[in-house]
Amino acid sequence: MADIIKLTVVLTIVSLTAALAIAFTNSKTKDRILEQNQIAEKSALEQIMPQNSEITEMHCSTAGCPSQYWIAKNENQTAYAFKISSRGYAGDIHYLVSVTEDGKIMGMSILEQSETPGLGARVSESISKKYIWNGLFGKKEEGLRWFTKQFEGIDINKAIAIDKTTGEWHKLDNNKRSELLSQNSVTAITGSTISTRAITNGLEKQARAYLNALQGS
Amino acid sequence: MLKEELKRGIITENPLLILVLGLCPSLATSTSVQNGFGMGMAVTFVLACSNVIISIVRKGIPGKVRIPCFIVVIATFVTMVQLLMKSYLPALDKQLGIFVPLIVVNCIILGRAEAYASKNNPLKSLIDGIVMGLGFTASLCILSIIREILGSNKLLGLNFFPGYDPMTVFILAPGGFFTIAAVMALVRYLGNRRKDTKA
Amino acid sequence: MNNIANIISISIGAVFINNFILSKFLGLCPFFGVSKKLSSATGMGMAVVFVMAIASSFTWVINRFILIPYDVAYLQTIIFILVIAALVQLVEMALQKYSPSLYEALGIYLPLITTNCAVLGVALINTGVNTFTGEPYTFFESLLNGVMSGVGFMLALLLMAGLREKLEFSNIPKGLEGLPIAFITAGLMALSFLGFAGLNFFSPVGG
Repeated sequence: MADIIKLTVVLTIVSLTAALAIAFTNSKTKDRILEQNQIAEKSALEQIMPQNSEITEMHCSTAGCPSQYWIAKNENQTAYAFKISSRGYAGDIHYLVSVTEDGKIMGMSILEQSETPGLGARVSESISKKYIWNGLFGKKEEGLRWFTKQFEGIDINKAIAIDKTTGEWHKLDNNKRSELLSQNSVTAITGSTISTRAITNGLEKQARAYLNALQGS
Repeated sequence: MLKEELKRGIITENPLLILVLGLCPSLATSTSVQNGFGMGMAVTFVLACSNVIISIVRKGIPGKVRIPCFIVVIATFVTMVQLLMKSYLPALDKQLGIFVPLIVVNCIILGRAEAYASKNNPLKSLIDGIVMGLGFTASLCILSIIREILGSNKLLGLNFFPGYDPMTVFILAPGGFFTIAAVMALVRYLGNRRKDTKA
Repeated sequence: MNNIANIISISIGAVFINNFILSKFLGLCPFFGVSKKLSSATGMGMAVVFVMAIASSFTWVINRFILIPYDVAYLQTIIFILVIAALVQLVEMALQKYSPSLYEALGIYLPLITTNCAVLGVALINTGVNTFTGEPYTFFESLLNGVMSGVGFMLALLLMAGLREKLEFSNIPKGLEGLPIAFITAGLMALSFLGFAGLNFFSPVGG
């Protein structure tokens, strides 16, 4: 009997101490964790909205309208930014897209995805020109996120074509790139048409609907 | 004495390559050196802390409930690491995903608690925890370097071979198995050779 | 119709496409420890399916009705592992009483189910979102996921045991004997299971 009491007491003490330690750590880190998501979103927004413009977050509750979106106005133009979630291959892909009033994409930024590494995950890959020998000690350079960059100028009010034969965008010269743009076409990631199509579908369906709802048509 | 301990943890009793403990997170997180190193450091932290605490309370815990107690101690530190990572290194946390909470069932930590920390004083347990953790990190880095270069033609995010189209299979599941098979075979071969030349 | 599609999607997903051992790297320690003989592999596999099923149910309930409402989701790790440890202890005692031969055959690997990443892994996955429906896993989906992931684990274990039994009679270079050749075998199996990637019977809801 004394045995069992001793066991129970020891376990209780250990568990209580553990719980206190965890609760303490949690209280210290809770706020910062909540912040992290907002930091990522905010910096992505600033990258895709026009420079030197004031970005305001808006909410809308009428049918078809995005529940959360952003407007950026400066002297020249008004831009909208939407947060879209499309079903990719292995889960949802969450991304931000900014469009001008007539539906041309200004920028896109992938927030979260859990696609297969080396295949679908390449939607957020960043191509760097630097190699290990000149990159380690030189200046830190932002790589080219080609997949999202190729969407700049694409019109969401028209059908977006996926080009699987020309090759990946980052390998094409400027002439080819302009040609693709004039056909409202983007290049797919080799071997991951599903992930590519998930994004174009999201733009054609959700982004277009949001823009139309906001413009009242 | 420290040098011998380091040699023990990293080479002669390397937890992953010699003792074959901690397989699950190793193969899953060795897809890039940043991930592998991050995981290794997280495990080292938990291993060192739990070894110390378990060693301090080793006399007070009755034999029958020692495993649940060890688990509670280890889980506490793992949760702390989780929270700290989410707040200060969110990108790494996303990359490591489910394997951060899975550190709690990493055989290395429970194994060392049972085999060492419950039988030695806190200082020795701390050192054991650190060197074993470093050994784990080192072996993770070896696997990661191989897989990152062969599988994505990058090292630390920077390109490696010019004009080489990477073999994606190496950063996927089969590649993990093949890589550890090769590294383990090499380690054994070297170990056998040393034994032969000594004898 | 959606329900059936959901069930099939979870089952096929857990057994083949996202096989715990061959795609997700969960449950490796016992995989290489117990897979030498087909008979012990079967017993281990079934014990794991059982533990995973019960663990999935218990942890889902605790998560949904205690952890989330009280906003202590960060206690998931510690609570789940304690529940699993208790469950394995129960299974051990039950086996000792009702099937001593299986208990002997499994030996030390039975208590090791506690530290099996697969069990804690499936419990944690069930707290997330079902990629087919886009909603968090319901109780029945978690249970199904737990059972099917266990079945996938057992499938890989049985395949491996069958192969290793045959390997006993082959001439293997000295350095590769034992674990390295087992890893290579697993790698080849993983390679073949990679063929299931991209398998999508039904397009997901709202896709």
